[in-house]
Amino acid sequence: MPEPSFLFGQFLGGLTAAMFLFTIGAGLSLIFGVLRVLNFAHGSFYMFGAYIAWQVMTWLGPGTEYFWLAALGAATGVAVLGVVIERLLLRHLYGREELYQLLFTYALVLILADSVKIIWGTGQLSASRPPSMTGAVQIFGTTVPYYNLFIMLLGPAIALGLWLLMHRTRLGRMIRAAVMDREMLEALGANVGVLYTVMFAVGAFLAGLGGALVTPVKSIVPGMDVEVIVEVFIIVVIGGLGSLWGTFLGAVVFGQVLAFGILIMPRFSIFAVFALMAIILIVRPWGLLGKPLSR
Amino acid sequence: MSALLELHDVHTAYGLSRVLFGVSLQVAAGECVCLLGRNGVGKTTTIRSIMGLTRPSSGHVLWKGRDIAGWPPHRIARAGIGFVPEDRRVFAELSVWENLDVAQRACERSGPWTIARVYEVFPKLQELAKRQAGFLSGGEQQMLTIGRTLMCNPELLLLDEPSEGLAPMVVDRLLEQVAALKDQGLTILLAEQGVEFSLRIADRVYVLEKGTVRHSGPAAELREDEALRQRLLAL
Repeated sequence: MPEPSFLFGQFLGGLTAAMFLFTIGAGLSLIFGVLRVLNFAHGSFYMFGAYIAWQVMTWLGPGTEYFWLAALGAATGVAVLGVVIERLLLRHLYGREELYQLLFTYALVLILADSVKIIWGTGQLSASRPPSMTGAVQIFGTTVPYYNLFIMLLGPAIALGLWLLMHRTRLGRMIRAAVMDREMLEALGANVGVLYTVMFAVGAFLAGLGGALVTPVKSIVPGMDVEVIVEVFIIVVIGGLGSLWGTFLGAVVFGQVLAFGILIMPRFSIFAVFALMAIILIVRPWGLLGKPLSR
Repeated sequence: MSALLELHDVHTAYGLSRVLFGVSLQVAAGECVCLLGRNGVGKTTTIRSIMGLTRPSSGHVLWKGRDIAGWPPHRIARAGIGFVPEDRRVFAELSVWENLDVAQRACERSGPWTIARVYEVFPKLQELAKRQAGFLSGGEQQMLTIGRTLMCNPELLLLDEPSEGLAPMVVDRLLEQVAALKDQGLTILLAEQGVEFSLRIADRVYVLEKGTVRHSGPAAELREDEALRQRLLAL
């Protein structure tokens, strides 16, 4: 039996990974929940967030507090990219068969992946934590870097923020109304097209933010898009597509299964996650907290 | 008499299935006009064509003289046409108040209607303000869906089958409320299967059959002439 402090450290590691994934997955789930589009290119948005953040940091000074500015700038840049894609291209595919949307967003994955290689090359880039986040704190005998602590707090903050946005603001009520009956809302005078663009931008922003924030702990390489989209798909499938708290729960489950799976069977921990997803797909296809699709 | 709304030879189809074959009609300001006819003759499709929810394949929909055929629904709503759908279609997971608030935000068309004024017309809605709309009775939902549309300050109200599925007493109450709206100067275009309901409130009627106008005339004519009513609307 390993020491409790070691297990606790493993738990916190899993939680950190989970909150990174939640930040990204929340955007994917939001876009699906409102627009009913499963955006394969969400991982590409994440990758762009990482590269843009790296670029801005390189310009402003790596390893400085400009990190925060770079992260916000990268997320905003990805949101703008999302708006362009939604307004010019994606909106023509609403109401078509899902297959077209999948093909379209898959094409985006290929285009964006090649764009990254053309702009930044195929080498591995890296960034460092801002100076204010280089320290660590001792919790129950485990060393926890400030940065991990920040990520662990950011996840719930984003969840709460999105929940408040959806349930306590007029914009949120409009969005929920659009989900319930888009045509009716339009007949009441709402320009639902603009609402969709806003939601796509918010989703893309979260993906970009996730990508920017991951730069100090992961290397920035082509291929990080596909790696993350697989993981994010797993968490939204476990939690329930379109469900905010489901995505949160899915991320936590994913993080912990991976963190402790590595202790029990190091080579098969990713297999454990896939097995879990398969079981959920069979037993409860709409996910732990999702709702069955009524279409 | 210049018409507020005028349909000119409107043809509308859902994909390959054609429903309207040249509907023409007029509604003047302040009038209550009723579309009568059996199920499937094109009443709902006429309303949807006016609202831009199903785009007419040919013909003109003139609103104050401008052709609005082909406009998106939100633009038509903002131009002053309010749509009260069949089956009510309240936002079931939102509360009564939230339904009204969303509608107010959706439209941004200024005018006399506020949530407080909707509560004055439908006091029951105020009592139920915090209730989820999905849990209301049919009659309450009908009040909410009308109140919600009023938040956009329409000049013309399109009412699609408002009495459908409601108990007779509820229908009577609804009729009074709709009549009160008319007295306040609202123009109304009503689609109804219920002859009783429509003849009590309408000034003029159009009887639709197989996607065209079979008969048009004052409502009084149909009210008084039993034989004509039988001939046009025999069930």
